[in-house]
Amino acid sequence: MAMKIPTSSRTTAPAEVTDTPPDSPLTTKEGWRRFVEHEPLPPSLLTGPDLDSLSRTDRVRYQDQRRDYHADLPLVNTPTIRKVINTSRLLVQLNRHQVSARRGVIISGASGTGKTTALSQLGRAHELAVRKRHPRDRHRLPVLYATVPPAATPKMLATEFARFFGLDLPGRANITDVVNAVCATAAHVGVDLVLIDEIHNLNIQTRTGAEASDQLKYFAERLPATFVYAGIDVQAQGLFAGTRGRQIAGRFHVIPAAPFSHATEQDRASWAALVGTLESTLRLHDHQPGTLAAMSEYLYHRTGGMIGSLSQLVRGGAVLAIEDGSERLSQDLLEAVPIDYAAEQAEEATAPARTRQRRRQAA
Amino acid sequence: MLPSRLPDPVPPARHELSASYISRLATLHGLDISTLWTQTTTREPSGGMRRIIVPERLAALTGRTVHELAGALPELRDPAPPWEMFRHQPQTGCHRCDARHPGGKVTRLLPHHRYVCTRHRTWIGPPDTNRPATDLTILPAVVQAQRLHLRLVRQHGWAATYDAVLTGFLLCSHIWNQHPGLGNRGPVWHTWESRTHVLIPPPDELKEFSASRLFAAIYPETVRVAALIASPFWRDLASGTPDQKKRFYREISTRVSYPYTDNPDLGDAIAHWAHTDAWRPPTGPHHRFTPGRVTAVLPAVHQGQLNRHQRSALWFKRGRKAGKALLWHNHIKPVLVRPWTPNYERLEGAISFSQRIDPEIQATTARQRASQPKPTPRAQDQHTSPMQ
Repeated sequence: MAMKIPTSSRTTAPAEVTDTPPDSPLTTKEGWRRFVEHEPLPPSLLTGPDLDSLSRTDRVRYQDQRRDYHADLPLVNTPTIRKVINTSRLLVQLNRHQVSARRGVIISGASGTGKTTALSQLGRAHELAVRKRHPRDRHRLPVLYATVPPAATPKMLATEFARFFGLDLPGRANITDVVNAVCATAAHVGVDLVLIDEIHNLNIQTRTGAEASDQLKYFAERLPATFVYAGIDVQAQGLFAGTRGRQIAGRFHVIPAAPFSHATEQDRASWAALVGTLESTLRLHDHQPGTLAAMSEYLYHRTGGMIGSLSQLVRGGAVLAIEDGSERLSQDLLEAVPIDYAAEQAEEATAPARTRQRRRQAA
Repeated sequence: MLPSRLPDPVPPARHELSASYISRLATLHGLDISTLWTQTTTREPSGGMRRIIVPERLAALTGRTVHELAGALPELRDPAPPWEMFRHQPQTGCHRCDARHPGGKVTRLLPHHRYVCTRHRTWIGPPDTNRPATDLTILPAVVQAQRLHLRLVRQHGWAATYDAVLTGFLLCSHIWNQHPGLGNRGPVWHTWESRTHVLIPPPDELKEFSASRLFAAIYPETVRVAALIASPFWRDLASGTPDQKKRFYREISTRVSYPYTDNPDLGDAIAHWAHTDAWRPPTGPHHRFTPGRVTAVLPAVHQGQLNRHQRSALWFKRGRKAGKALLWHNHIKPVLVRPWTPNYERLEGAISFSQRIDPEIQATTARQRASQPKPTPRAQDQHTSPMQ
């Protein structure tokens, strides 16, 4: 008897969400809703006889489903993500009855350390919690997600907020119109967490940058919400310098997003635990549990402790393992996965010179 | 290009005007009403300045299907509903129903048979000058009359019921307007005056006066009379032989406690209707609603209308002559000035004519009736359109 292949292993989202055009970005309410409702479900692994009994079409579909799943592996809950979520959820509660001077959070760190991931996971966790509290309020939008555009002016910033809500304002609308529309809508749909990514695009040393920063502050005063920013090395960009900077520094709590360390025994253990958790999400036929955990040190040197690079390495290896039919991760396979330049630099600086020795042995 | 969907597309209210709905959506989202109106409408095909709503654009804006929207907004229905069934003048509805709809005032286009919100026991219409609906908790007879009114609509169709209820208002207004010296004021006057006492308490006439509330005071008896006027059987009797007429008068006297006296010198609106109108088909409304507006901003009450209202309140305070206020109200004008009524310069002429039964009028009516090829006292095809 032929096995029945589930039609979709990916998501439990309703039809309304899957109908959303795939190009809707996270910075629109449709894209954000799609992100919040998306939850990758692991496909069930077929046993050998069941796999053999599949027809050619079913086998192709089965492989496609697993490739899709591995390309979109569930996220591992890193310490940074945990800290961001715990701190920000506490601040949301503390700010609930504040009429002014609400406290916020800034996630700062190098690229590839998982800032955007932490920010989006915070928004997702908060929105799911609010939906649980108000299950019948379908039009509540507790989270607003926006990115600071390059060379942002105050109006560009306000328009980004309006674009998230889908407010179609005419070109002749001035900034007051845009801000009023955004604030009226945000108050009506119950926004209480505002996430601003790419905050390093604001250069408060320039006039437009300073004005855009003031615009953000104005939004923070008008909207009864907690603001969370994320950006690359925010302290080094001079966001806390000068009068404006001192005011920001007085209201925001900074959470550093740093790469994992491999210095102490405890650091190594936490990295190994992270790799082990990632490994447990794999759905490969011939993969022996513990293989990836045994390669923990190699993975650290290859990725420089960057969670983004590690995720790409493991996901890429899993997809390659399905494509070449080996169905298991090995160091040779992981070598074939391209990763970012920063991680390559880190590898050159930190990895022990083992590659040449091994080649010599092999020769 | 279709507009983006708004974050909180609140649902439309039943029978709401599209302009009112768009205005509420704009208010809730802090948008400019005119811009949203332009985005969701197009100029009428004739090229005039009026703008017609595009259902697909409103559907894209709200995320609701055109079918769902058309269920609540009559202007979106395709094919268009028979607009004669609706009042030509949009108005506010029950304020307690409107409390569920955020974003500002809800303006509705109500059908002719909606006078009471039976759910919240409030008096809705006819349209008044920006006055909220009136609580009817201590006047259950008025609420019950709305149920009887709806039953009439189901039995006889909207056209016959519309004519019958307005004629009922006219007859009751004439009865109420009888001079006290005539000596035939019966218990029904006391009933109406006690209801008016509740709806418009004596010291505050200037503040509380509303012609619409005066209609509420006579509404139960009006509907009871309308049941006779809409009925083909009773219309036949009213326009029949003298004996049949007497039977009709006896019945109507029972229904409104009206001590009918067959004295032509006193004038009698009921007898006038029986002689002149009962054998003719029902009269339709003078005006009908036309979809399409230039702007989405609904106009405020005109100052002239407010002045008229103030003058009426002043006259009412002096003598509490409610019958007169009702007879002069535009709401009953379609049955006061019928197509066959002589063309008077002023409304007083039409009011006076509507209660005359002198021999001259009887002779004229007899001539007109004889010239008709086939008298049709009952309205044909009244059930052709479903009720809204």
